[in-house]
Amino acid sequence: MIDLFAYLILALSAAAVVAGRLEGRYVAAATSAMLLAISAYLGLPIGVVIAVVALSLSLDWRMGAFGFALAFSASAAVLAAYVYYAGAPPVYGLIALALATAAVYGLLAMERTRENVEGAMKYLVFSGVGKVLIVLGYALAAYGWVQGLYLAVLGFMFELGIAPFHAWVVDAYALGSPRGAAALAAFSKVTALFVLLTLFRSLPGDGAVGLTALVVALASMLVANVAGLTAKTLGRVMAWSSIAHMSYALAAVALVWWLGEPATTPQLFGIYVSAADLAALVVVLEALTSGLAKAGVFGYLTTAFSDLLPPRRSALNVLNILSLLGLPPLLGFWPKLFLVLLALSYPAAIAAFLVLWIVVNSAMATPYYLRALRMVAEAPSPIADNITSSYTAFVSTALGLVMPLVAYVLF
Amino acid sequence: MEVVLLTIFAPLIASLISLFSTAEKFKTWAVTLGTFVSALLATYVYMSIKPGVYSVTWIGSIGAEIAVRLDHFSLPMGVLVAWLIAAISLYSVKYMEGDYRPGWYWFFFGFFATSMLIIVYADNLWFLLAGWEGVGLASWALIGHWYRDEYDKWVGKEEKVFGVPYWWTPSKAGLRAILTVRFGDSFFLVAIALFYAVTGTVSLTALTHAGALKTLGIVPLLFFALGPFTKSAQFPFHEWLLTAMTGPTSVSALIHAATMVKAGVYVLIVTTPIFLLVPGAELYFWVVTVVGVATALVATIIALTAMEFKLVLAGSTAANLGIIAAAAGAAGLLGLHEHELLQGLLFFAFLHIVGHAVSKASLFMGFGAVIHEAGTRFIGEVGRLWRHMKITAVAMSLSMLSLVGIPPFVGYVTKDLALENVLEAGHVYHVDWLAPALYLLLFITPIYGLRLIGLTFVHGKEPKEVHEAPLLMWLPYTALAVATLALGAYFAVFVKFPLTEALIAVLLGFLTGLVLYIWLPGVRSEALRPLWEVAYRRFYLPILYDGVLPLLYLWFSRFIYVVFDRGLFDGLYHNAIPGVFETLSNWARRLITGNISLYVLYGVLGILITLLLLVVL
Repeated sequence: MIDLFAYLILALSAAAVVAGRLEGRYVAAATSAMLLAISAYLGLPIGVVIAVVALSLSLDWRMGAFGFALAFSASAAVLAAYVYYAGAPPVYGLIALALATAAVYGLLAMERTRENVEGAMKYLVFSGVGKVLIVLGYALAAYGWVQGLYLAVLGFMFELGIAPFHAWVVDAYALGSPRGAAALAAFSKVTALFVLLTLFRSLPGDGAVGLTALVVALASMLVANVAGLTAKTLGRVMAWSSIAHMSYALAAVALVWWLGEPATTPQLFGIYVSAADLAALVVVLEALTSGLAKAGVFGYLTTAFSDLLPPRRSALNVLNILSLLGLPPLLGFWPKLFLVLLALSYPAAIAAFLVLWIVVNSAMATPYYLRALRMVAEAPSPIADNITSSYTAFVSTALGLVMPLVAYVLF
Repeated sequence: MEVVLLTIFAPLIASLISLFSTAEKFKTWAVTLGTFVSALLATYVYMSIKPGVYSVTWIGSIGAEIAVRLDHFSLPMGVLVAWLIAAISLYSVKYMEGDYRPGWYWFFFGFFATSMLIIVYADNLWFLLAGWEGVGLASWALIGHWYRDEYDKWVGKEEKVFGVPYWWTPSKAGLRAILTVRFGDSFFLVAIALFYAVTGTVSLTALTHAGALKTLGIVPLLFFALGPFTKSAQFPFHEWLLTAMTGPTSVSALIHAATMVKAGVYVLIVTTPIFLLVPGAELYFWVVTVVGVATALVATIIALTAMEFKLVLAGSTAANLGIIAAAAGAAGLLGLHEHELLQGLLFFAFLHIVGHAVSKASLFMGFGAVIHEAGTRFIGEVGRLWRHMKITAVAMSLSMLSLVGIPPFVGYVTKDLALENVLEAGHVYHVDWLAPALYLLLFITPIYGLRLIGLTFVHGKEPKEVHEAPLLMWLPYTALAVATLALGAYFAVFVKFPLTEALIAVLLGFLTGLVLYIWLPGVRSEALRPLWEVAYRRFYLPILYDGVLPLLYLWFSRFIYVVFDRGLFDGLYHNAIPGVFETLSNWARRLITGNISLYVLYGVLGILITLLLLVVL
């Protein structure tokens, strides 16, 4: 069924010749509708959720030629999700990754200001390095070289913006166009995380690499949450939040790479789940939490970039920010809880340390999320909520509310 | 059991019902009806229910039970308390009419009544504690009832002594009362817990036979005594009772004369047989006796020099509470030698609760009527009231004769019987100073009584527009005044009519009072003025309670504030930790300079770090 995506991308490529004469939002809307239909046909709920984000953005904003970029980036994210869930060859995931990079670069620079271009360039450079390392690493690992996994993990650290490879993330979020930042969070990072899960499943784990990745991920979440405490603008707060969320996701995968399946199988709502599946659930939920909430926050900004205080008030983004904070029962609460449950299935000393670290980090992040909340809630009237912020807030809340049921259905 | 519980809880139920209406009359009559139901039931319990202990489990893990004990103390005490509550409730109907806070008053009136009856009937100390804390709370609420703190509700005049304000508003007096009482209660609570820990029970009946008490020691007993000492305003905790006169006079009559303050000495009496079992109890009984005598002397002297109607009565109340406490302590001392005499001696102490309550409730209500009608709380600002308030004057004279201990009034019989305990203890233990101290006390008592009567009803400045109190007000205190005579006769016939040398001291004091305040009023002695000043200033104890202790507490609180609040908590949580995180955060954030070369450098460093980790881990 990968053909469907191929045809869609080919069609988009063919239509690109009329990009200059056609308002791109219609292309993006049509593509989103197609993605919605394909996801529904393939039984891919994540694809539906992602496609509707793209549809919302295209309904909210005039995109010009960059509507094609939006269409490509959304297609990449849905493709990556499909590759993971369908068990398709990982190489398609790598293609999705490449597709997303070029598209999101364009979106980040779409307002054509100096700041936009700077943010987009930094994204392109570091994300590009990351992708090279991922492809190289995957190739080596697939041939049985254990160093390949290390290179791939290093690549993901660049791609996801894990400290100390994180500097570009702050500039990309703060200086890139808000629509670009929304796409970066909702499509590019989601794509990368699904590719990570694909490789996680297809490559043999290595304890040393897993431990290294875990140590870096734990340090990264601390750096992000500490640095976020004094961040002054909405874009920068969201950037540090993104680094922290990607670190939580990487930590889940790294933990299983390091220690493998625990002696006591973890339980989720009374159902036994393998540690690998639980880690994957953490990654998917982190991807959705961060992607949806940030798409909502960036998707309502009317400015050329987001290194400033929001010019208009938003009520619904309060829910998105609370979801990022991890407030139950919103969506963002669950990946943190599942990460804690995953940690608890390992030996007591390790579990205690990890749980303490995660909880402290989570608590430490509260002040900067509350600052972001005040920024959007106390900005000048009138309320500027749009389809994107409404949709993302709805999904962040609804998915959070039904999560126990979703987990029950999944496992 | 159900009837006793209804006796106890009827006033509270009425109070709760009173909350459902905003009409003053409804509240008034609902609670009054509740108190009369309670009084009738208490009489029924006294006459019909077999003595014994009745209980249901409350909190099993700490031995708490809703247990009532019907015996020769609780049954008459229940009748006395319930009827006094009912009588004063009736008096309050008129006295509190038109008050600006009827809901507060009537709710806490009923709440108090139930709490007091719990103390009277409780067999389990935890159950007793519930009532004990309830009366404390109600006392605070009713002392501070007139929260607007108008001048005519104060105790004292607006003056300072050694820089300390010597006047007390209702709000301040309420706080003073609850702080003093809670101080004692905290020790009381610890003592009860210790009893439970050592003996495994807090039932008064079971404790009477608890062999484990032999391992208890004296400290828990002294802790326990602090509860009754503060509640019954024993020296040096008597100050709160004097300033509690800021409350409505009906409250002073009920809570701060007839009932709540009696709870402390009542508990001292009922626990005496228990504490006899504790090794070293002699010291405890001596402490109780000496504190009682000291309270009686100090408070009598205060009553002699006070310049406010209610303050004289409050001093007199503290003095009589001292006598009862001393009698209970002395009964314990004598019981150590002759155990079979104990119950009789304790009964003498108990009788004075009755004798004093009847006399004092009447006096408070009567002088409340005087204050109400004359519009002043100061002695000397109004006089010759017998011309205008004849019924009140007669009733107050009868009650006062009873209070100061003139035969054959009940006050004479019960006080003399109580003091016999103390005199006998002094004799048995060869404590020679006790008898002279008690004779001095008996000599002074009639003087302050006649001073109050003389300066209010016989001599002084006659007002123009003063009328007799309304029927609903004078009826209760006149009935009680008549009861002082009837009860005196009853006790004299059915208990004992004491005739000792103490009567000489009383009669001498009475004659002196007659001369000084009835026949030849206006005699002054400048030589005694310094002594009068010391007594009038209540031995300067308010300076300790309102000056020194608050100052020490303020210094201590400032120390806590500076060292812990600002230093440790503010310093650590608001300055040090946020400061560290702010520095770290700024440092981490400022690494993002925008310079891509530096970003590349971070990337390279990151690769090196991961390689190092890969090698090391």
